[in-house]
Amino acid sequence: MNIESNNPIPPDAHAHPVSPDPIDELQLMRYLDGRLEGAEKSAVEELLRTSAPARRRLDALREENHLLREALENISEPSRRLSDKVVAALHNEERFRQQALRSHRMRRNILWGVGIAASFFFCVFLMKPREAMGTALSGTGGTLVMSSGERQPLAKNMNIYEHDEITTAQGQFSRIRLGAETLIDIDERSRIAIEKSKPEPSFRMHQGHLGIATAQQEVTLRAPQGTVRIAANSVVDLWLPQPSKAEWPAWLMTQPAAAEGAASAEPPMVATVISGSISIANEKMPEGIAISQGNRVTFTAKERRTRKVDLAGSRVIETRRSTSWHTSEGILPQDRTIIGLLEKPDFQDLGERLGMNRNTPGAIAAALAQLQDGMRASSAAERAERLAAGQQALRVAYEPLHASDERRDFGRMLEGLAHLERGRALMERVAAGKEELSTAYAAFDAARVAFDEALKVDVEAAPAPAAEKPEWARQIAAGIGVTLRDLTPANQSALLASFNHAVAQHWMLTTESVIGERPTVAAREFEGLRNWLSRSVEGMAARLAHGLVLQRAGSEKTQKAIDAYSEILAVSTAGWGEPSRRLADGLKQAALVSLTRLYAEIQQSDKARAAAEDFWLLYPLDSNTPAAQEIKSIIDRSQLKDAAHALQLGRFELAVENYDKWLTAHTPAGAAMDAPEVAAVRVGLLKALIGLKDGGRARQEAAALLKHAGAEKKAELEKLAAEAQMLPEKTEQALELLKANQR
Amino acid sequence: MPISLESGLSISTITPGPSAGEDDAQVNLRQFAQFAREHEASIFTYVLRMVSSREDAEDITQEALYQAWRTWNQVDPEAAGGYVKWCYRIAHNLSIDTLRKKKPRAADDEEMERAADTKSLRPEEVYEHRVQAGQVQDCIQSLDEKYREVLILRYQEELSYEKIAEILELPVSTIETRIHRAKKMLREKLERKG
Repeated sequence: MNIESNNPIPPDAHAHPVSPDPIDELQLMRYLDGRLEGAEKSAVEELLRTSAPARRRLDALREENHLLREALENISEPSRRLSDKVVAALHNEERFRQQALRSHRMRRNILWGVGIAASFFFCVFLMKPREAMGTALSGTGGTLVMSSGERQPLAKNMNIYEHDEITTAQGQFSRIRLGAETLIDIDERSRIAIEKSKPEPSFRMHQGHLGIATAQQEVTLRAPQGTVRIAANSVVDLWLPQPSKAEWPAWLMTQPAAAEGAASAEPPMVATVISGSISIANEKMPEGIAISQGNRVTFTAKERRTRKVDLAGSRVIETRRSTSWHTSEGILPQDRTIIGLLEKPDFQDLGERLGMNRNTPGAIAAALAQLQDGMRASSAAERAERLAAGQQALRVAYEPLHASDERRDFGRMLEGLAHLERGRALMERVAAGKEELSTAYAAFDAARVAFDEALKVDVEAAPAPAAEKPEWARQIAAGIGVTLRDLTPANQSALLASFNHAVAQHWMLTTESVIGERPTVAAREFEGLRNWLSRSVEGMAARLAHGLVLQRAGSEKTQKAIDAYSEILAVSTAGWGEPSRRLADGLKQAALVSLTRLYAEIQQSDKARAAAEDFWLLYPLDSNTPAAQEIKSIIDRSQLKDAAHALQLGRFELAVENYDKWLTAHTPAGAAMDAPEVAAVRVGLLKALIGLKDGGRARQEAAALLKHAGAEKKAELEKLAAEAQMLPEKTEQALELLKANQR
Repeated sequence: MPISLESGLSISTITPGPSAGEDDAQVNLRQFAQFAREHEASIFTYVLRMVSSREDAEDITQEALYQAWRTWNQVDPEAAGGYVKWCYRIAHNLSIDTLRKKKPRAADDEEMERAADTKSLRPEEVYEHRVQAGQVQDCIQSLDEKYREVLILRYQEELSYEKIAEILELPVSTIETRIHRAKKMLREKLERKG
């Protein structure tokens, strides 16, 4: 083989080298890997003897291999023994099998003893045969409620008859086969009732979330909202949503303003057609209406709204295609631990747990009570003031403790928490325009320094590289479900200080205008926390915070921030209990708000709208929550920004489209058309209409605006009205756009 | 911890036979438990490198072990690689599924692949300056999964080309080409990072 070849990659790799290279790199790689023999090996060795560039290349390849090994050598350990859980579940299955075997033998022995009675019941059974309508196939559990009211745990291969009900609790997912080949995946917290099997299966859905895959038969599902007929060979996701009860992460982000108005009284059903088609019939449309693949329909007895959804692109749509807990046998999805870092501090309880009151002056207990009292103050100003006084009192109270007493560090950590809470109270005042940002910044900085000192970190020194695993992380990793309260006092204090140190830095970032190295330092801290808290809700929270600080680091880290938010949205909450689910929903909503805001900021309006759309898909009943209102407001602002930008670039058609959409959403019939914001938008629309040469509409807009214009705007509007007068009635392009916008 | 495919050649060599009162299913389960404990860390490391998320890696490793158990009786322990290869194959497929679900392939990756074919950045040009292992690690994470997996199996798990070919069910020549191309793309990324 000629090793001084110009073709380093074999022809099957479609290589097209453009610069001639006298050395065949692939052949050198093979030599280095010991994959050459005989003549080929000799040829390479000869080349290496005679060619200095070839030797250089070989050295570089060796260096490359070395670097690759070095880069990949760190071995990571899972945070717990993964196999233990799998094996434990398998042992459970095995125990059940053994028990079933034993009870089978026992039954055989007593069978003779109850022969006559059994024969009698058997005869009755033969006289009234029942035909099984379906079978339980797999899953993590469920309960079968028979028509007699008797309840049995749903087991594999168990027959299901007409009028049976199946319910699932938290963590229980079941797959059943109905009729010939219809598969129903019943999610946790669901309830369905089987109605009949012929001529085609039908059942009733009372609660929860289902996935249905039909084969050759149609299936009918009834619910209070209406009837869904699922065509043969279709896959559908059906959901009776509940308001999410999400807990906004106020420890990390300022809560958006509360919404007005009440949520819809009548709960809807949501059906997403993943493939095939369905037909929906309700009171409004008793004859039914067909919904095809890629659409999501939300309907009540009297209303119906269908929208197209991006099945492949959405981060949140349940496509019912991946492997799921419904196919699992034995292993249950686990709840996520809440370590206890996200709740508001209870200073007295914390002081008790950290032993602050043990053989110490009464002043410490009094200062902690003062801080706790401050936390209860309803006004932000009062809260900030009382927390500041409490912090000072605590400082003075623990000062007499011996220098080696670890409770001095605990006291400093508690001071940090007081500063952090004071900073949050001041942020509430900043939002109300009653306080300067710099005051809040100073409080967060004081918190950061207090946490540094509690952790005995040199605040003047450069930020340390990722530290080795702290003791509290080892204690948390040692068992499942370990919370803050299970840790030693020193570890409780260290964990609270570490977590809140990063949180304080995040708040500093939101209050400072000059961004230096802080985002990188804070990102590193949150990344470490996320790894060490990976199996808790706090791990998920640290990932959200990680995304937020990366976003502040500027355009270079934008993609990483998007990845962080996407990861939050991808977290499955299967098997989670109510408290952890509420926190997770809050984190997901905050991630969606951040993602929408980020895309709007970088002027990717389509993606901002897609993120907003994901919010409505995931939380259809949360439209009046602060998070939903914030998303609406971001999208509105983005729409106006797009319109103004399009107007500036002379893309009048796009500008008219965006202004029209905004006005349609914000000026319902009867609304004031002369409100300042609306008037400003209408002036923009008028300019865009003039640019588009739509004389008819431009004159109409100009006349309407002139009617309500104040003196300061009059001159500008008259000039625009004069321009509108010169235009033709309507261009063909404008007419088409108007029709499209009206549609 | 490099894996040894040979260690999975015969499970009977690492576990004692049935104890009194044990049936086949119980013996199998005991053997599986030992196997799972021995290999969970190395499978986890491989998956973590692939998916870059500890949470996903833990879930995938667990799922892989569970699926491995469900198909335990279908594997020929005497075949090359035996149970270990089988388990890696499952973990690999689950990792790829997760990656595809999370992140569609970026246009940049295709651009980079084309660049690797048409541009010949020589290793001595890239490595003449001090390159940190951390930089290399970042660049590996940003490679397309089909290139990342061969580098991980070759340089983390230290597998031969033949063993990688068995796990990925590809010809050895393709593995060789992929490793070569992966390295070229890596150099391109390192060069761009400066």
